[in-house]
Amino acid sequence: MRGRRSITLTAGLVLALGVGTFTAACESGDAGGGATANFGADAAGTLTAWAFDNADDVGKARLGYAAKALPGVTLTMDQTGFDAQKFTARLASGEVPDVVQMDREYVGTYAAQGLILPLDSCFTANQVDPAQRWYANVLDDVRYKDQLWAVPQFYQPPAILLNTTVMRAAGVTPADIDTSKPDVLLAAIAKMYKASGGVPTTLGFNPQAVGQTYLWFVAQGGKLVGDKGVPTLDDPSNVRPLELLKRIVDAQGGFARYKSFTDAFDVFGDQNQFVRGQVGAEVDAQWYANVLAPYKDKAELSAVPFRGSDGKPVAVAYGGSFVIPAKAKNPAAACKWALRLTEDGAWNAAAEARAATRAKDKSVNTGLFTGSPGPDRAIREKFVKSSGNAGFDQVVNTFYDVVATGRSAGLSPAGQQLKQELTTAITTTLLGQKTPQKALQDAQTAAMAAYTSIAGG
Amino acid sequence: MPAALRARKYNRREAVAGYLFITPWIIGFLVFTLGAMIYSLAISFSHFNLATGRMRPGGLDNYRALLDDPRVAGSLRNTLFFAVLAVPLEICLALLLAILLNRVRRGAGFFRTVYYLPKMTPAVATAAVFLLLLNGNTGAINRGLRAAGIEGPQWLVDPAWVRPSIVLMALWGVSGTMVIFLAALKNVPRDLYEVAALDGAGPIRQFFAITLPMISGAVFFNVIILTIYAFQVFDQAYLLFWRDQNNVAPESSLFYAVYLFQQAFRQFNFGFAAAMAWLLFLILMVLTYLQVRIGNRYVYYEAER
Amino acid sequence: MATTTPTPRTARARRWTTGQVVLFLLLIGFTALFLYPLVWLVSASLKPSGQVFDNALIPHTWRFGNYVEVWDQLPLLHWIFNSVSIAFLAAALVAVSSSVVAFGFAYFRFPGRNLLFGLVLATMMLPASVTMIPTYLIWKQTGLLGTWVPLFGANLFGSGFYIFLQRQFFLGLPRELFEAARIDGASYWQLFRRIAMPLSIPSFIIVFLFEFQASWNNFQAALIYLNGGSVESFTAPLGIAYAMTKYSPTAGGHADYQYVMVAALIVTLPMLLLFSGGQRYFIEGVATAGRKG
Repeated sequence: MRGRRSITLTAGLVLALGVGTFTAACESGDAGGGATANFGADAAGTLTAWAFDNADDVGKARLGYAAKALPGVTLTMDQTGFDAQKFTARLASGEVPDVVQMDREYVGTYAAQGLILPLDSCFTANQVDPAQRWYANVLDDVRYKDQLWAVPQFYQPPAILLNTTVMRAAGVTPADIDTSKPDVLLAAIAKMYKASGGVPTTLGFNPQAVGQTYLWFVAQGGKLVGDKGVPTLDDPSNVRPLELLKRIVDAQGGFARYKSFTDAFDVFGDQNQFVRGQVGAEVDAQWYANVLAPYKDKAELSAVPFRGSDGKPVAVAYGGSFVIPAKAKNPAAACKWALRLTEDGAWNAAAEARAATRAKDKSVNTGLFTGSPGPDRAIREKFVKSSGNAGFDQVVNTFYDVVATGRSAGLSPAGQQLKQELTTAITTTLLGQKTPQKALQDAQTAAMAAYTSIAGG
Repeated sequence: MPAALRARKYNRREAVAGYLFITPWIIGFLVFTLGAMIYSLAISFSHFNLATGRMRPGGLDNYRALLDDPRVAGSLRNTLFFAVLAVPLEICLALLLAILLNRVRRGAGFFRTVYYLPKMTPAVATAAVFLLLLNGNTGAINRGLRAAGIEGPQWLVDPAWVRPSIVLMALWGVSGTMVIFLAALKNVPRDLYEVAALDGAGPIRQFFAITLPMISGAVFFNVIILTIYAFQVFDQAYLLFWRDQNNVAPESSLFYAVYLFQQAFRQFNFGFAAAMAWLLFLILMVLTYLQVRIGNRYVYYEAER
Repeated sequence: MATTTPTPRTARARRWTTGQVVLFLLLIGFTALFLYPLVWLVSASLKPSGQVFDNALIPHTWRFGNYVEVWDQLPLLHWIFNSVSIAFLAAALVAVSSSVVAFGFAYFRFPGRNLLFGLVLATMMLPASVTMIPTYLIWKQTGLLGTWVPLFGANLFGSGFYIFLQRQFFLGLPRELFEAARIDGASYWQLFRRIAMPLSIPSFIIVFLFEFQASWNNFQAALIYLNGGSVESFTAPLGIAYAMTKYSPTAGGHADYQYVMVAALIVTLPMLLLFSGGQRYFIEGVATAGRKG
């Protein structure tokens, strides 16, 4: 019976090992939340930053400005983009950066778990009045439980770009591209939409349902986030925007063909959808005007604001932000660095760099959309000049005009999950797999599960 | 032979040396297999957040959540659908190719080499290529179908065609299975065919009366292995649909392993993910057991065994 | 193996019969299907950005510059270096450790041997996703997260399939060889080191090549263990996945898929070379796996 004994022995050993690792895991589990940091301390020492990936002219100028303003700080940077899994891995491995750039819509997830620091004392310690520095909707993007959890930056409002060539050929006027009047809009789409053998060749109106999710829902009267960041995807007000999106996509070949068609757009190239006449109108964020600037004479462009269900122009978009992890080793420097990067001087330096770039490549300066009213205004006055193309100037001005109409979609601990679920609801509805009500109901169930596991755990 | 062994007394020195030689494996087994599984069982009964490092007892919460979460059932259904579609197709295609290769008198080596190349291609490269080949409007596959007068489906968008598109990728890399069949076919004694031919059996009867029974062991092995693989399919689905968090991914592309990964490494729910892993383990145990039961009834074992 | 022609036949066998022609054509048809995606990959890697989607097998505009620019666009050299190093370590470690363990199972008689070997075979069936989470936590506890170690560390302890494969090989060696050496006073370790190992080079190569390929292609482990690091610390598969997202317009990229194609091709080539060099080992390894059934 020697065999039997060796098995018992093995089992015992394994059990001991398992229990050992288990308890070890329990012990190592210390809470990161509730920490406060002395943001008033002098900025000194090394600062590790992650995901400040916009190392373009604007990013470099701002970095240079912050470096000059904070001479005692040595900066080490990881320029890879933010990625939730990567952030988790970093937190788990204990190698936590001092400051992380992430999209504002994700901030709630980390705030609710106490993984990042509230920054109100960062603002007061450095005599920064957030209400002065940023747009109200931008601040709402990072407010959770009455505290601000991030230093926001950038707010690039969306609007509708028009391809005048396509529109004129179909007899459509800019006034027809009105998202507050579905019937007018759909009639215009029907006039412009072209297909060959069932495959779209020209879209009347590309709604960017997935890229501009928040815009469609919030602007069309929907409600995505309730009190304390609770997801409210099943709110009856969300049905209407979804139904409208379905009508728009169904009028243009249905979602599957629409998606394959838009996936093959040469968005950034000289064969882009405007030059090739693949769209009549398209919802786009402000930065896309920069992409189209070199082609302003190849495609006749203009723009109209996105209108809410009340007929008024409205813009909804998140943007970037800096957060400071609770386990950051140098929170004081992180706070000061993020504030330096978002102050007037930094934006002015950025705008000058951008103007120099544009002068060098002889292109149009469409301005910067910083998330702060002061710099936005100053940059527009100082650097945004006529391009010599009336249509394109109108595009640039439209984006500036809609900035003031900004609204926040709110901040939820379910953040990324909420977006994912909403996207799923859109896809399943547009594909005709579920009714809008059912799709939103399912999305709400899943988003609530995420909310509970994050905020209630 | 085993009986003879047991009757013999073990040489003490030899036994100790034997244990020493297999010690690396025993350590690995205790830590990375048995230890890991017990550890994961413990985690599955707790709430464990990887990001915060917090762990507290959770009783059956995770298993209850497993039943409540429609995505667990959904992803399981997707995975099952994939397995049911992929495994038989892979077996048939691999067998067909192996038979062709076994019959051809010239160039068998060349063809085998070519057919094996996809197997060597990293999954990321395969995914990068198929991402474009499968585009519903401009992809080569639908262009080919259109040339034949068939309007191809929207492979990567239409929920009904997402899983078949992954099957297609799996079929492209079917050569591993093919090689196993080829080896088995080479072991079928030729005289059996000659006798059958004398009896007037045509190629089809020969296949069912001789080939299939003689290689049933290989078929059985391939079915089990492919099923286990099918239940773990991750790379292709993740790369095509879930890699880019800004993209729309049809729900029908959410395979079990992908959801498990998301729960663990995106949503920090290690406890829930561990419970999912155990569920998968149990399902595969039951499936393999059933396959073995059924297999034993049909598989022909060579006399030497 | 490749040259098995069981029944030597007369000249008749060499002639093309109708059946053989049909067979040959079928095989050529399959060749086209299997090669198409690879040929397409080569072609797409030579196109300018706007034409990658156009599916022409012969590019309208040839752009060899892609092969020059890709090195600036993506840290490919780092990725390849990382992948080669990790794959080499993984393959060498598992080949040696599995060989030691396999010899233990093949040569020695000890209580519980069959049971333990049964366990070895059972671990081959164990789905990796079941132990994925605890394994991650084990590496976390060792403080080795963020290093290469989790990607090959477990290979130190042998691996089911390789142990099985090498044991089969050892069982094929005549036992008298070892008994003679024992009589000459060789220790057990010397039996392994001096006799078993040199004789088992072919199975050693099979294991090495298999694991090298498996490690080179491994995406999920790299995603779990290396995604937290800098882009330069990625392996080639993780890097390509990163590039796919980087250039994807939905993620703010510029749809420069031609670079993804070049990178994918560059990452595939070493595997094709590996295969062309070690084809018979690969085929034999796979065939051995099947023979177990």
